[in-house]
Amino acid sequence: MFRYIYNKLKYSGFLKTMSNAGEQELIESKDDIELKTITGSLQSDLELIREVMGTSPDIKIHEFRYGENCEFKGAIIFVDGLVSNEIITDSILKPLKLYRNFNNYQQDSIQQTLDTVKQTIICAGEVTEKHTIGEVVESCLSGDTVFISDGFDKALVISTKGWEKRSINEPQTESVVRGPREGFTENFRTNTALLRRRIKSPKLRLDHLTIGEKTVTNVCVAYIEGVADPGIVETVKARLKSINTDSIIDSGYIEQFIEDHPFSIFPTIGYSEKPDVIAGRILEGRVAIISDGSPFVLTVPMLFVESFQSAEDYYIRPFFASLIRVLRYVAFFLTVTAPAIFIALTTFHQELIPTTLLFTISAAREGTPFPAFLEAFILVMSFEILREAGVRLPRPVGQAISIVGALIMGEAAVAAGLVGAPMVITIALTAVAGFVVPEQMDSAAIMRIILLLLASILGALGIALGLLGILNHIASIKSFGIPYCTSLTFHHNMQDSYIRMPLWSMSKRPKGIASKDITRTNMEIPPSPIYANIPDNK
Amino acid sequence: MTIENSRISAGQFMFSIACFLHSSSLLTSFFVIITRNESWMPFVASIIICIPLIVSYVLLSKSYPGMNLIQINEAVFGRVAGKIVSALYVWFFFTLTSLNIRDLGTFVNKTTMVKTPISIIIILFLLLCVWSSYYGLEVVTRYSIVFLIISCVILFISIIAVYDLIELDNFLPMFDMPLNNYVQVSHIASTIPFGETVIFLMVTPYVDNAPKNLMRYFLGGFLLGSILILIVILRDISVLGNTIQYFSLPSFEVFRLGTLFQTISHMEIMFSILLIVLLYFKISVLFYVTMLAIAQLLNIRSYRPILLPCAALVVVYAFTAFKDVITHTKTAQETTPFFWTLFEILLPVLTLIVSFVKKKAKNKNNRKAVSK
Repeated sequence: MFRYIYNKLKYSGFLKTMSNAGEQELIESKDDIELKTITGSLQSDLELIREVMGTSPDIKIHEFRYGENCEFKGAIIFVDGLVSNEIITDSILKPLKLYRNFNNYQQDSIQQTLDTVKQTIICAGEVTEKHTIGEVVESCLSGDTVFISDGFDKALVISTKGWEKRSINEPQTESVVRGPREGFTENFRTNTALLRRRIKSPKLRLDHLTIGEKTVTNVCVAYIEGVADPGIVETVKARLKSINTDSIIDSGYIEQFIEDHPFSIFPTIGYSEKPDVIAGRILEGRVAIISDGSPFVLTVPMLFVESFQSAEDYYIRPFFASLIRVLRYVAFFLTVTAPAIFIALTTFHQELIPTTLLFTISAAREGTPFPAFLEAFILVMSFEILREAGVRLPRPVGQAISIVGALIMGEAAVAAGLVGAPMVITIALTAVAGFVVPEQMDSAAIMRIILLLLASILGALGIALGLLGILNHIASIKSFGIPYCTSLTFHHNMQDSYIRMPLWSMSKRPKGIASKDITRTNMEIPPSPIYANIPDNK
Repeated sequence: MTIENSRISAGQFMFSIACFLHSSSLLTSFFVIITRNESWMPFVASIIICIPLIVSYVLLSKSYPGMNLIQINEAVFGRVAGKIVSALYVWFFFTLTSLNIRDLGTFVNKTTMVKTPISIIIILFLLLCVWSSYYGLEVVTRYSIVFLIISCVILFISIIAVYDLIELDNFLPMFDMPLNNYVQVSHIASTIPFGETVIFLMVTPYVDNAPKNLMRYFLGGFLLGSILILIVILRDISVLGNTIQYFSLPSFEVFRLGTLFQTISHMEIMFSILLIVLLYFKISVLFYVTMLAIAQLLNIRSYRPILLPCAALVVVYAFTAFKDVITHTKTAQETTPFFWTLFEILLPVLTLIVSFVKKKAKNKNNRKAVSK
């Protein structure tokens, strides 16, 4: 039998090497074409480009004549839909075809003619020279227009990017009552512009690189030089460069490729859809990673407390913000432990429940057929199913789902005596509290189930063991060299963890994250009101 | 080559000591049985007695900066004698770990999980300690402040809850016992909770700016922890009075008596939380220190491979050390303090003296060499 498996493996392995070899050859031949330089003969160049790009109908090759007596042959190549047609007509075709002053054109000064075309004729924002077919094809596919002409051994790449894009909307994941409402879009340039508009300092660096063999996704590392820790910036860049994959569809791909602890249930890379949040984090010394095609911008390093900091905390006055933040911690604790505590109390430690409450609970649980653990588990799971259904469903049906799922099913299950009402209340509380800390929602769901299991086996001891284990795990993980539980354990940066101190008291950037430029505000603490220019009416 | 690479801040070190000491507030029954409602007096005396002891620990650590206790032993007593002394210390750490985990098992078994076999509790807790020790000192001591704050909050709530049960008459009569009792209690108190801080000599080289702030933070942690225990003892005595001697867990009784808003009664669960959290911290520190000491003694590059085998030994030791709680309490009163005196008072002081003499001799030699 082993031999059979061995042979099978060998055979499939052999096949694999065979097919790989074929593929390799194909790629190599293609690479060869891409490495070829522009020859200067228009027909042969176009032939090569056609060979690389195929015959897709959206790839437009427009050949035309221009010059004083239409003596030059030229062509522009672009991808329909990625370019702005207005720019092509108004800034490339019209000027080229109407220009008549090629008097001093001679065969030996090709460069001069090219310079004329580049400098005086074409009216676009950015014109660069490219030499190889590969470069030409690449810029064509990213929305630029390529101009080649008979006799030139270079191609001009004219920036004409202009595809349809979504307008800047209020993000659906992080809505605020007070504060900026704009959100990132799928368009890379818009996102970097949104960031630049928030931080006008020239020290804001946007370091660019491309990832993905097939998708060739633009990725940009944004940080403020002198504020961000250079070590972290280097680590981020090194990890991004080490990504060797064919596709980056969303920034979520990048997150999974560069995170410190792929096996941890806790996210170690933060994300946000709001430019103000990202700008705030960059100003704290973090490094942002913007990826083309994704409205979610990543930030590293991420701390555990970051999940509890909402953007709005900083826009409203500190008192209510602190109250809300404490409530968030309580809600997180509840969403993780409430079902487990309920199970532990009802199955192991009934003596701890006040007597009247105990009577109520036991009366409610009297007719229910399942053990408490199973009941809780079914309810937790059905809640997750409901949530998932609510997210995926087409919007008009959502109402129906919430009514059928939440109201009828819950009500009917209690009325039919399948589950006890106290259990339904507990799970409902758990579910609602879970939405308070959206960034930790998935980790909370997993922890909840683990604790539920432990509580059903060992009661309160199980909960304690589980929680201590989770604390242990949080203490052990790091995000880009910064301990994940920084400022959770009362060592430093306490002004912005459990409560939000007034902005003027956060005069320093968080320790450990920012490197050199630590001071944030240089004001008297607390700021005293200044009265200036009040006319002195004596 | 160092076994431990992470560093902890001085504050973390201080709160670790305080938290470590505070966890002993659950074990007050050892000496409360002897002096009953007057226990706080010998306790205060032992705090005062222990201050010079702590100072001598710090001096010892300061005179050999960057070395832990095992390395100091080797440097002071030489290779063979040093190894023997270190082996004795390893046995001491090992025993402490086992005894504490046994205590934890017994207490949890008694207070919350009456029908669960102790072995399950012990094994699970020890696995947790193995997990935290695996990541090193930073993770082990990380939550010291959080745990300390939780325990302070619970202490505060419990005092409010039993406020109307407090009777100052319970402190009377004073000075009603033979002097021997006071001396015995001072001895127990200074060896069982306070002297155990000798284990932190294993950790001192890994504290940031170690030699400089050590005195302040070591003493600060010691005083913080001991004052918290004192508050616990005062609370227990003022509520229970002379009956305190009948309970093996006086704090547990106090929590049971307390009521908040006349609805939340039976606050034993709080005591259990406190007990589990604090003893978990204590045991993980002890276990970590034991592993560090063993690795240092045997010159192993890392203590990680020996974690699980040693945990198994600790479990076995915890079961075979004592037959039952009564034997344990009896031993803790009569035998253990004398054993521990060797490790906590005699040996460190001896080490300090030998190191001083050695240094003097060296200086003299140097001076002779210079004068020649």
